[in-house]
Amino acid sequence: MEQSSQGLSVLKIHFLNHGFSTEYILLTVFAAVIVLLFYSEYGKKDEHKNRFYLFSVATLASACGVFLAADFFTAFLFFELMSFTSWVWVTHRETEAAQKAGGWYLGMAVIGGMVTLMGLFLLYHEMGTLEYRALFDLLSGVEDKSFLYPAGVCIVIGFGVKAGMYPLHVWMPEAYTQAPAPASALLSGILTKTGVVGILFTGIALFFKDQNFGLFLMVMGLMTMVWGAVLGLFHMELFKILAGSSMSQIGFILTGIGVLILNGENGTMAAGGTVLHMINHTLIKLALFLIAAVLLYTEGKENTRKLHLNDIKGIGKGKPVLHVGFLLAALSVAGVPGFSGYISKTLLHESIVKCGEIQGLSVFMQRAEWIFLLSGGMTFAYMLKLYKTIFWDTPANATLKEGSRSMTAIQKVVVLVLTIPLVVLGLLPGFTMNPLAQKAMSAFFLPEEFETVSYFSVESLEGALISIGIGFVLYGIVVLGILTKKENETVCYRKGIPSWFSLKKIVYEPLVLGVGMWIILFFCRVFESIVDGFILLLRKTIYKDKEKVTASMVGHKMVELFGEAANDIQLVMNKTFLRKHPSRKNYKTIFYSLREEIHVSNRLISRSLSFGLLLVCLGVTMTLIYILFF
Amino acid sequence: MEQSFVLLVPILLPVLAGVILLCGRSFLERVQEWYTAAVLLVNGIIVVALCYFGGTGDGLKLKLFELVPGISIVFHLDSLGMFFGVFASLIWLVVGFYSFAYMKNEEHQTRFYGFYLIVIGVLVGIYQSGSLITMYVFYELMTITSLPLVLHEQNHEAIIAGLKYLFYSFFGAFLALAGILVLNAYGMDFTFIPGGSGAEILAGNKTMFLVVLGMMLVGFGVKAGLFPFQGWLPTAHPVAPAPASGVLSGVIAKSGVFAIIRVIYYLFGADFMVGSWVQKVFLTLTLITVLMGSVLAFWEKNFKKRLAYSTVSQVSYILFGIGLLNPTALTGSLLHVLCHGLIKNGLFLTAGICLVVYGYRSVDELSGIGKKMPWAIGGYTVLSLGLTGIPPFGGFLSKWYLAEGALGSGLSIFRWLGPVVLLISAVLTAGYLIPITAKGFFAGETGAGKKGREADYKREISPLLAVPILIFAVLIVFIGLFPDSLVEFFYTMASGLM
Repeated sequence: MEQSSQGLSVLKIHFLNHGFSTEYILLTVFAAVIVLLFYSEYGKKDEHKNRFYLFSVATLASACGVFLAADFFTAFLFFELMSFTSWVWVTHRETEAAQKAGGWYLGMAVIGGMVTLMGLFLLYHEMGTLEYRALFDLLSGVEDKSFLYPAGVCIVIGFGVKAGMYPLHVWMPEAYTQAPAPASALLSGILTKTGVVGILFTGIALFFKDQNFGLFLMVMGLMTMVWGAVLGLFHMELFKILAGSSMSQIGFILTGIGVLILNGENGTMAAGGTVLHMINHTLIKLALFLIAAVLLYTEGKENTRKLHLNDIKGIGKGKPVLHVGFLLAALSVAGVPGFSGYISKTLLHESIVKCGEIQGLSVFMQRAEWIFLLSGGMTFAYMLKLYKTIFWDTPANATLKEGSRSMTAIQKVVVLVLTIPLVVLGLLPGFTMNPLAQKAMSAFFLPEEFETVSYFSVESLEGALISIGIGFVLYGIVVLGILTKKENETVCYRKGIPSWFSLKKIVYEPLVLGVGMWIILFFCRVFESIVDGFILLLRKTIYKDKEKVTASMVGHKMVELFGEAANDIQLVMNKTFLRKHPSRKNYKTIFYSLREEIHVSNRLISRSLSFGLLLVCLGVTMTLIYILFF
Repeated sequence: MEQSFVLLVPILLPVLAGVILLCGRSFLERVQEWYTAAVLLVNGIIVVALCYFGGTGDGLKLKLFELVPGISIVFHLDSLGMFFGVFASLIWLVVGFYSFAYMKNEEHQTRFYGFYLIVIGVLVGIYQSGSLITMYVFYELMTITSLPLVLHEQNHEAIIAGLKYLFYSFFGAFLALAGILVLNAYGMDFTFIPGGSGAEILAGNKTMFLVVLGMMLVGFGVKAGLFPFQGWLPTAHPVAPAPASGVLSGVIAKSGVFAIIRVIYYLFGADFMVGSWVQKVFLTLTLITVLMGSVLAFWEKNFKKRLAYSTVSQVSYILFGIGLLNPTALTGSLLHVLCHGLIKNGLFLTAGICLVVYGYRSVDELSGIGKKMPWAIGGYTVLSLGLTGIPPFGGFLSKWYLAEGALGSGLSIFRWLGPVVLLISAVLTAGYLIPITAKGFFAGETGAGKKGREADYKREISPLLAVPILIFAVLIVFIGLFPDSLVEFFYTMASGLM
C-alpha cells in the first residue's frame, strides 16, 4: 500500500529548470516570436489565420514542456500534446495532399507515442520511478543494464519518430512540403529537437556508459545521417531537400549522443558538440525555411507546392538580402570554417576520433569518422546545388515574374536576425559557443568543465577541408553529371528520386497497411462470426426453415375474395362519387403485399423465438447435466 | 441487523415513476420531459445522498424476504455499489437531457421515457444487491426492461436486433444460472463478502468449481460483449436511438462487468481463481476481444456500428484488468469503467446528432462536420483522445494502471502481451476515431461534405444536444487532471478485495 500510494503520486507533472532547458526555451520563444511575426504578413490571405496562431502557440508551449520536463512522464505528456497540436500545421492548408501528409504525420506520431508508452510501462515496472535524476542515481552502480534494453528501445522509437530517425523519418518530406513554410521552419527547427531531447535523456538517465546502447544510438545516427544526406542530394524539390537536410543533421546529433553515452563522464566534448549542433541546426533551419518562404512570397507562390528545382531557377536573383542570408546559412550547415556549423561539427568529429581510443572500438570509430566526413561532403554538395539553382541559374521562363512582390521590412529583419548570429557564433566560439555548451553540462549530470578543442588548429581544419573537398567532387559527379540533362539548348535538372521510391511506398504501405491489416482483419472476421456462423449452420441443417409457400399465396381464397370486392367497390365509386378523379388501384395486389408483409414478420419472429428457445434449452440441459452428475 | 428500507427508494422511485408514465400516457404526455427530468434528478440526489450518509461503516443493509428457506432477497450498499450507482445515475441524468431534444424526432416518446426511467431503477437494484440471487433477479429484469429501448424504431432491423439482444442475454444469464444451481447444491452462501465466502466448500471440489466459475464468467460476459458472445453489441447499438445506444454501451454493458467483479471478488474470491486455467482462458478471451473489437471498428463505415465495436474492445480492457487479480489492475479497470462510460456516451451522442440533424450514417459523409458543429466535434475530439489514452485525459490513467497491473501480475505471457495488445488497440482506437475530427475540420473547399449539402451548414443545433457532449468532455479532462482522490478511492476498494 505504501509503495503503491507513492506509485500513485508518480504521474505528476514535474519540471526542472537547468542550463540546457533555459537555452532551449529561450530559443523556442525566439523562434515563436520570429515566426509568428513573419506569419502576420506571410499569411495575410489565410482565412484560418487565427487557427494557425492558436495551434502554433499551443505547440510551442508543449515543446517548452518537453524541454523543461524532469521526468519521462512529463516529457511524454507534453510530447503527445505537441504531436496533436502540431498536426494542425501539416493539415492547415486543407488540400487533399495536406490531409494525406497529416494522416502520415499523426499516424506515425500516435504509433510512436504508444511504443514509447510501452517503454515507460516497462521502465516504471522495473525501476519504480521515471525521474531522470533518480534513474541516473539508481543505475549509476549497475553494470549490466540489459534488462532495460526493451524499455530503452521502445522509448527511443517514439521520440525517434519526431526526430526523424531512420527508418522512422518517412513522414518528413511530405509534411515539410505540405505545411505552410513558416510552420515547416518550426517543425524542423524546434519540434525535431523535442524528439532528440527525449532520446538524449533516455541515453543519459538509463544507459550512461552502456556500450551496447551507445553503439545502437551511434549506428542509428550514422544511418540517419547518410540516408538524409542522400535524400538531400537526390531529391529535386525544394522542401524535400530541406527535409533530407534536417534528417541528416539530426543524424549528426544522434551520433553525438551515442558517443556521449559511450564515453560517460569523459564525454563532455561529445555533449558540447551535441548541444551546439542542436542550437545551430535550429537557427539554420529556421533561416533556411523562412528564406524559402520569402522567396515564394516574393514570387507570389506561397501556396504552390510543386517546387521542382526547374521551377525555382533563379528566383533569388536581384535579392541581395536573401542572397547573403542564404549563403550564410548554407555555409554554416555545410560546416565551412568561420561559421557556426563548423564549430559543432568539429567537436563531434573530434569526439568520434577520441572515442576510437576506447578498447575494441577503434575500427568502428574509424569507419564512423569516414561516414561522418562523407555526410558532411554531401551536405556541402546539396547546399551548393540549392544555392546555385536559386541564385545563379537563369530562370526557365519569363512568366515567372508575374505576381511578384518586393520583400517587406519585417522579412528583411527576420532574415538578418536569423543569419548574422551564425557568423558571430562561428567567428567567436570562445566567447559564444563554449559558454553555451558549458551551461548545458549540468543538465546531463556531467562535470562542470567542458573539454574543448582549439577550433582553428590544423587538425581541426583538416576534417572540414576533407568534407568540402568531398562535397565538390560529389557535386561535380552527382549533380552536374547524373542529375542534369540538356533540353532545348538549356540545362535543366532531372526528376530526382521518383515518388514511388521511398520506404513509405515500398515497405510501410504494403506491409503494414496492406498485408498485415488484411491478415488481422481476416482472423477478426472469422472470430466475429463464430457464434452467428454456428447459428447459421444450425439453420441450414437441423433447424431448416420450412419452404416458403409462395404458390399457395397466389390463389389464397380470402385475399382473392376481399380483393375482388374492393375492386368492385372501387368500380362503383368511380362510376358515382369519384367520376371526376377516378381511382385506379388494384386492391388484389395491395392485399397480397400486405399479407406477404404480415407473413414475413411472423416468420421472422417465430424463427428467432425458436432460436432463442434452442439456446435456452442448451442452457437448461447443461444445468441438468451438472445437477445430475456432480 | 438494522433494516434500511431507504435502500428501496432509488429502486422503486424510478420504476414506479416509469410505470405511472406508461399507464398515464394521456395525462402526462404534455409534461413528460419535465416529469422525466424531475424523477432523474431526484433519484440522482437520493443515490448520492445514500452514499454520503450511508457510506460510513459496513454500509446500509436490508433483508427484504426469504424466497425459499436459505435464499433471501438482500440489499447491501457497499463502496462498489455506490460507485456504480452514482456513475449510472449521473450518466442517466445527462443523457436524459440529451434525449429530450433527440426524441423530438421520434415517435412513441412517452414509451421511451417510461422504460428509460424503469431501467435506471433496475440498474440501481443490481448495484445494491447484497447476494447473487438478488442480483440475478435484477439482472434478468434489466435485460427485459431495456429491450424496448432497442426495439424502439419497430422496423424489421430493430426487431431482429432486439431479439438477438434478448437471446444472447438470456443465454448468458442461463449459463450463470446453471452455475448458481450447482453452487446451491453444495450449500454455498450467496451473500457478497469481500474476498469471497465458502473457501472450504470450494477447496473440496476445485476442478468442478473452476468449471462453474468459468461458466459464470462467460455467462455474465455476454452482457459485457466478451468474445465469443460479442455479437449482439454491433447489431443492437446502431438500431437503437442514440441516447439508448449510449447508455447501453456505457452503462448496461458495464453491468456485466459489475456482475463479474461480484462473482470473482465477492463470491469465489481472487485466491481461488489466481493462477488457474480459468484465469488464463478468461484473459485470453479478453485480449482476443480487445484486438478484434478495435480491428473491426477500424474497418467499419457505419458510425454507430463503429462505436459499438469500439465498446466491444474497450469493455474487454476492463475485463482484462479484472482477470489479472491484483489491486493495481483492478484500480485501472474501475477507472476505465468510469472513463469509458463517460466517453462512449459522449461519442454516441455525437453520432446521434449526425444522424438526427443531418441524416449522416456513414463516416464517409462526415467530412466537413466540424465546421457545421464545431463545439460538438470539439468535445468529440477531446473524448476520442481520452479513449485513445493520450495524457492528460482520463483514459490514459486507466491504461497506465492496467498495464502496470499486468506487468506486475507475474503471469508469464500475459504480463507483456497484455500491455502490447492494449497499445495496439489504442493505436487502432486513434485510427478509427481521429479521422472523423481530421476530415471534419480539415475537409477543405473540395471536401465531399460540401457537395450539395450547403443547407446543412445553416442548421441550428439545439444546445440540449451539444451541451451533454461538452459535459462529458469536461469531466474527462477533469478526471485526467485531478485523479488523486478517485484513484485512492478505487485503490483502497481494490486492495480490500484481495
